[in-house]
Amino acid sequence: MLLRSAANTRRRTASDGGAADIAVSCRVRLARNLRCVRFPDWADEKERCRVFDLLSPWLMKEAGLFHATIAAVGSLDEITRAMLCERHLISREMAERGPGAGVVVGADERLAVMINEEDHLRIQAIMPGMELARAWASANAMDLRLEEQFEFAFHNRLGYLTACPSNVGTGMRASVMVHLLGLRLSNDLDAVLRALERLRLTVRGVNGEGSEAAGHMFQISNQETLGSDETALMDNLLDVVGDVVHQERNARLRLQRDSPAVLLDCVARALAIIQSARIMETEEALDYLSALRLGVSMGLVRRLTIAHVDALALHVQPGHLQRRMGVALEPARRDVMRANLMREMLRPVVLRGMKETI
Amino acid sequence: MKCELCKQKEAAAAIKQVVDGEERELFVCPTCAQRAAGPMVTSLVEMLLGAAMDVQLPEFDTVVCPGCGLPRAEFRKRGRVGCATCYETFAREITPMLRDMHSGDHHVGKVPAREQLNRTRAELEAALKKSIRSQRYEDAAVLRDRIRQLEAGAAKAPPGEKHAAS
Ligand SMILES: [Zn+2]
Ligand SMILES: [Zn+2]
Repeated sequence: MLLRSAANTRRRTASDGGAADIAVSCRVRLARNLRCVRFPDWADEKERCRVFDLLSPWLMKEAGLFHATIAAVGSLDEITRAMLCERHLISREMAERGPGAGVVVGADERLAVMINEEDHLRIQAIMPGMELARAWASANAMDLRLEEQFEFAFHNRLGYLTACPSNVGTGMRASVMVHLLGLRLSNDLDAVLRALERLRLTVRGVNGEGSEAAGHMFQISNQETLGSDETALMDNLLDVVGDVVHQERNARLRLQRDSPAVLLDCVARALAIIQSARIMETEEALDYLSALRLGVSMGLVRRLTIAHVDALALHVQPGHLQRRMGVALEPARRDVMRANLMREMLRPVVLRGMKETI
Repeated sequence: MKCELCKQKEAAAAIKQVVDGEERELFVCPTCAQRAAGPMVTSLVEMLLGAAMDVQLPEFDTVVCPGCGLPRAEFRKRGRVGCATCYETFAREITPMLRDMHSGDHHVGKVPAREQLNRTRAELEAALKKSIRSQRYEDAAVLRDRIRQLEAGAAKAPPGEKHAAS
């Protein structure tokens, strides 16, 4: 069955990159379209299904995806669809879409190919930390296998043609997900985010919008796709993200040196609430987990790893939570279950230097 | 998109106009479209009834993408194309969009192997024609061989290294 084990989560979010406490993961996404076939948004359902039936068997058998799984969005229940969204394997837009849309995923979830999202094909490779080069290698290899088999819409001057002109050219969107709570606590986040926009990079909150995005997770990606090659786009992104990581690191160290009470209060308060709350909404949960994540990174918390925090941040979301419970639950009921799950999972966690109470 | 005549209001219609002796399509606002259509022939009855105050614009814009049937108005509304051919059909709209979105105007980067092969072949064939025209038959023979090699190679194994850096 699809996405059943929690072990998968750990593998995918494992923080084995150098700056993984700040740069969580990175992703390369390539948009490709078939020549002479209407693009998904303008095609009718029959055409979309034809494209799906053409691409999906090949992706399952010939694409070299290890233990590939296929999810046809039209035939999934709502909970599974939500889970796929929460794992960034399909987009929200795509989750709404019926027959003809789907995703083929490798067993480790690091490589996925979406069919009939905004474009016929979206190849997506995810790697931990800032290992964009590895993500590119993986996505590119899939692209090369695909182009031997299928003819892509390509224009001599404009490059790969995509449904939205904003993706034309390389069709590549490279991104890094960063955790920026230190900058938020020192009130420097807005300035940093604004500076990024000026560098023609796109920043969006992974959960929600702007600098108040739940969990303080941000995805930074290249805005332009036409006029620079893939390597240049990725180098530019890595340069800037490297700088952001550096600023976040400094903000954390400054907090620790100049206002340790602020830092400790943020972490201790989050832990106390998690360990006693009986009702908790998703965004609230993500914010407290974000604080614990910072706490682990600063050595303030014991018996917890960043990989655990990241796994839990996935499992408190509505789709994962309901799958865990095995039933569809009303939001109010979910909030109770979520609080229970968090208390349960984080019961052994203690602040460093505090008396252990179990 | 702004009206190409007054450059102030939003363009809502396409009209044909002779500019520098060449018929060209212009995207204009309703006011400019009416002005361009010449003096309105309105009957006294219409004026008295007030109908002339409320002139319906004729349907100027009937452009539809031959590749996918997407009407131009629909493309404007969505901001997304319906197929690859739309990039030719709506080039006039898409070119300024691309200028706003990207700092470059042509693709640099990876090219599909098939495309790379076509490019090389086209270059060789052009050179071949030139050498035949100028009666350099030895050159032509060499070029012919290279084209043959290219075709044989393409049939055997697809090239592995395709990430052209520029
Ligand atoms: Zn005008
Ligand atoms: Zn079209």
